[in-house]
Amino acid sequence: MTSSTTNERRPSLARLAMLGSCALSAATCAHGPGSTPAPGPASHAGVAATGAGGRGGAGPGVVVVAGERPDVVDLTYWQGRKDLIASPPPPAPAELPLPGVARWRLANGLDVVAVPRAGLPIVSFSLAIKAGSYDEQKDRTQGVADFTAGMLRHGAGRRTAEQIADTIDAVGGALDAASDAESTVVSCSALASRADTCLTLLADVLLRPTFPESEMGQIRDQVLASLAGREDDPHLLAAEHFDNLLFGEAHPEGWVLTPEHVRGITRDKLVAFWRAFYRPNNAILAVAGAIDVPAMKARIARAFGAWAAAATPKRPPFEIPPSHGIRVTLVDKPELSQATLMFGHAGIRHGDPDWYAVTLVNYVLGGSDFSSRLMAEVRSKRGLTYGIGSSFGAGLYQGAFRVSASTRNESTWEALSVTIDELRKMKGAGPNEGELAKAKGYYAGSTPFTLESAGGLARALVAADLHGLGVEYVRGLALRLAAVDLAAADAAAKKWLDPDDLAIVIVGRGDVIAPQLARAKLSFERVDARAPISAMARHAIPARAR
Amino acid sequence: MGLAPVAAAAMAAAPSARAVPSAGPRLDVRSWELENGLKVLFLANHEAPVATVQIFYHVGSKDEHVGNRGVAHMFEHLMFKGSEHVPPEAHARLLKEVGGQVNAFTTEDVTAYHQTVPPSYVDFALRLEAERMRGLRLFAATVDSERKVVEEERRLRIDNNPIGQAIERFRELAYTKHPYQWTAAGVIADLEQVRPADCQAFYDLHYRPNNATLIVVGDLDEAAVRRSIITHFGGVARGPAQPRTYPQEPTQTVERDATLSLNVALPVVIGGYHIPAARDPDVPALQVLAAILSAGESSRMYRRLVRQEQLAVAAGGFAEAMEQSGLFLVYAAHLPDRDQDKIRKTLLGEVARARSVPVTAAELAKAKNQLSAGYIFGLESVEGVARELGLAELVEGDWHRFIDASARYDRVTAADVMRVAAKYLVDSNLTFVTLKPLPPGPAPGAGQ
Repeated sequence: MTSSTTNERRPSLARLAMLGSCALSAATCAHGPGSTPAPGPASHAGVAATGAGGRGGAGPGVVVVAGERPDVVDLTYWQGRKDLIASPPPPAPAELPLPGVARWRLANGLDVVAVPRAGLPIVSFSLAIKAGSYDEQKDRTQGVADFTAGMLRHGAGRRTAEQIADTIDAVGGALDAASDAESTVVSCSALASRADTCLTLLADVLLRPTFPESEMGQIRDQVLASLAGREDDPHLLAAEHFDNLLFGEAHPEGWVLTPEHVRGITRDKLVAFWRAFYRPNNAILAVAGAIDVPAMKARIARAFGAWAAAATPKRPPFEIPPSHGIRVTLVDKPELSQATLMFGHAGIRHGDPDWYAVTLVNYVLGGSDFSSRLMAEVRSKRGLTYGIGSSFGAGLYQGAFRVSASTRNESTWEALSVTIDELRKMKGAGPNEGELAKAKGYYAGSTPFTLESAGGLARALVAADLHGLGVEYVRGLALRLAAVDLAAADAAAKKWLDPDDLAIVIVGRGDVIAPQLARAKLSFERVDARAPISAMARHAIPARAR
Repeated sequence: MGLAPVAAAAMAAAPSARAVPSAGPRLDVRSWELENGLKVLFLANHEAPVATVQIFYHVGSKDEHVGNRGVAHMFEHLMFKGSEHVPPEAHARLLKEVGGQVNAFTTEDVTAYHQTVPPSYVDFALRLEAERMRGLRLFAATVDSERKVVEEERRLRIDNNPIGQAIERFRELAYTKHPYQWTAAGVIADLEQVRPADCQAFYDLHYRPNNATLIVVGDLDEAAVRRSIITHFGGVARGPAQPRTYPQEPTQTVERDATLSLNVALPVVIGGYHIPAARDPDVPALQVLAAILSAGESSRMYRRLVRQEQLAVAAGGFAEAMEQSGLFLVYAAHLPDRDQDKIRKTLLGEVARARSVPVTAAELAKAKNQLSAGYIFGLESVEGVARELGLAELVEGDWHRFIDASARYDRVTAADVMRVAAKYLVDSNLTFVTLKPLPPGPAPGAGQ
């Protein structure tokens, strides 16, 4: 859903895996910055993700996704007409039925969620460890969570990296591991007849990884490549700068991973991270698909019963630094023909009671593609942008509210000021009744799509658990959103939007954009695109080296 | 219930060294045709309360010519800009209000519009889709504004994206006559020339029921869907026959190379060989070879380039099968400090090995299992199934080819793989583009 991303930055290794299938065929992976992600789950990460083009050989060549349209339009043709197609009655919000969902806990503390589904002969396992980059130490172990995850399938138990790859590929399955800020997810999917292959491999890579030193070079290269790739993608570059600017150097979201960090990761650090955090009492396992629950219970107990529990380190507290008014970083990349904007301020925790109202307010503001105010005002009316959208992170901790847009270099300030005006209007008067009703209609209609994939539903249940929300959150989401009234939405807009406290990052042509900011009397820092992303690191460079 | 599990027992017994015989559910796809020539594909799937309505028009960038390159994609945008009873943008907005996910895409061969909605709104979605097939309204102001948007989209996807630029260069080089020479993103100079009258002519010719396939998949009743489709689309007039004459691409006889120097942090190399059209009997063997070269971390190219020699961070190959002669692509992305010539040699060395040494029985079985599992996992998404049916119908000429794909892969032998490699993946048929980083400039620091 609109507000479900905790972090604009994808896990680095996972991002790299997209190179083959998406970048090269320019395929349907891309959505414009303003698009609302489908609430449904991601697809099977197996053959398709490697670009083998499995299904029927009809893989399209270069595909251009619409996502984005309008500008100034002659509306007189439709004005005053009585025969236009009208909105249908809105869908009624309902509780999500979760038939057959089972939960249990192993003696060692491993929580299990099972979603049986008979339809297709497939099974997917997904084990979430409650540890990610939030559990790293600044400079000392930055990058270790994702590196550890990347190494899991490079040696475990008696198997070498090549044996693990051979085993999972032979059955047409997929075995993946990746880390984000909050957690690390290790997943395996295969035909149901191969469920034991998944269970055996998962138990090996989680309980008995060997972290061979000889395998580290490959992972190091891949992480370094994902850091390099961020220089080629203005959106990722803007996101890194934005996080550093908003969260600061004392918050893990604000830390910037550098090649030096990656090169400083040793085998000892990987082992220490794994030993500290990869514990059954710090994990949730989801299993979904064509399974018999009692039989699966026994198989899971056999695979994971020997995993030893241990107390895990507590996360040190961290907070978003207090507001500083408007702060602007202009990242100069002279070859760009468009400016990429990312700006915003501190957001909300997923578990906050206001989260439902905030979700609806954001839907109306910038979370609903062409139905949103930002798209209507900034694009349809003024033609200033190709795409614009806003989101509130939905994480365990307070995340960011961010607006993301692309515009011509020449229209950067205009697009920015119109958007800030819209934030001001929304803060001032909230959404109107019709807008709120349509937002609720969207969620009432689309929430049941979560049921489409058993694996996706299982992952949604785990995600709710990770945020301390439980199964009731998934079951009752549409009803809770429907219960938000106009007064609550208005109050949420007033409380959670702050157009006078913005961290603003612009990646584009400095020579074209800087004069616009100067005319608007905004002070800003102009930064070379190749300069360190961390403000602290940048300012530590001696002046003569500049 | 459209998904009938079959062959599950056979699968359970299959040892890991052997390919699982084309397993999985049999899709009970219904197909019919209206009098005006509209083809319909319907599949009931009662697993979850979700349904998708997709319409594929058999027109893409290969139906353009030098002078209007990009018009097919621009037209895709115009389909959201209003029709007789629907103001601009309302198509997407009305569906969004009920939870719908609405989008569209344009390829070389097709233009497809899709909306995924709660099942009770399928009739409404069909009504909206028929409305813009029947009565699109094109105004000069709309065409002009949308032209700018499409140009911005091109800048975002191609001009500001080094890999996008490399792909474009690659296509220009690989095709000398055929319209696959350009991508659906088009050319700005051509887009500037497109007039409303050209758009109207494009619509009148291509956006007709007899040039479209409508696909409906989901938690639905066939009879009710049939009635809705007849009600909404039955009265749309049949259009003229499609021209479908394309310049023939001459057979390539010598290798073609180009180097592109850009400000890029993660360089890539892209090679490609002409292969026959998607429906050609040689294509399944090429798909199996692509899986052997690059599906999973045990695949040949990954193991050689990424793992053993640590030259690249990603490497692989895939068959980009199109309605007419497509391409078998091989690629590698690498850190800037690695030897690009060696990467090229190693990548092409793996292709050469496929030409001269048969793949092993284990590799063949593995590839078939991967392709078959990929198919079965793909069936979870009604949107994905509808899209694959549409692509199979228009690009391969028959929707059955989607559900029969695993059976075709199963028939592929090691000898077939070596034969197609030797036939198509030869140096005289190769186009190769190297994306090189510019030499590093002066050390950056903070400026003011």
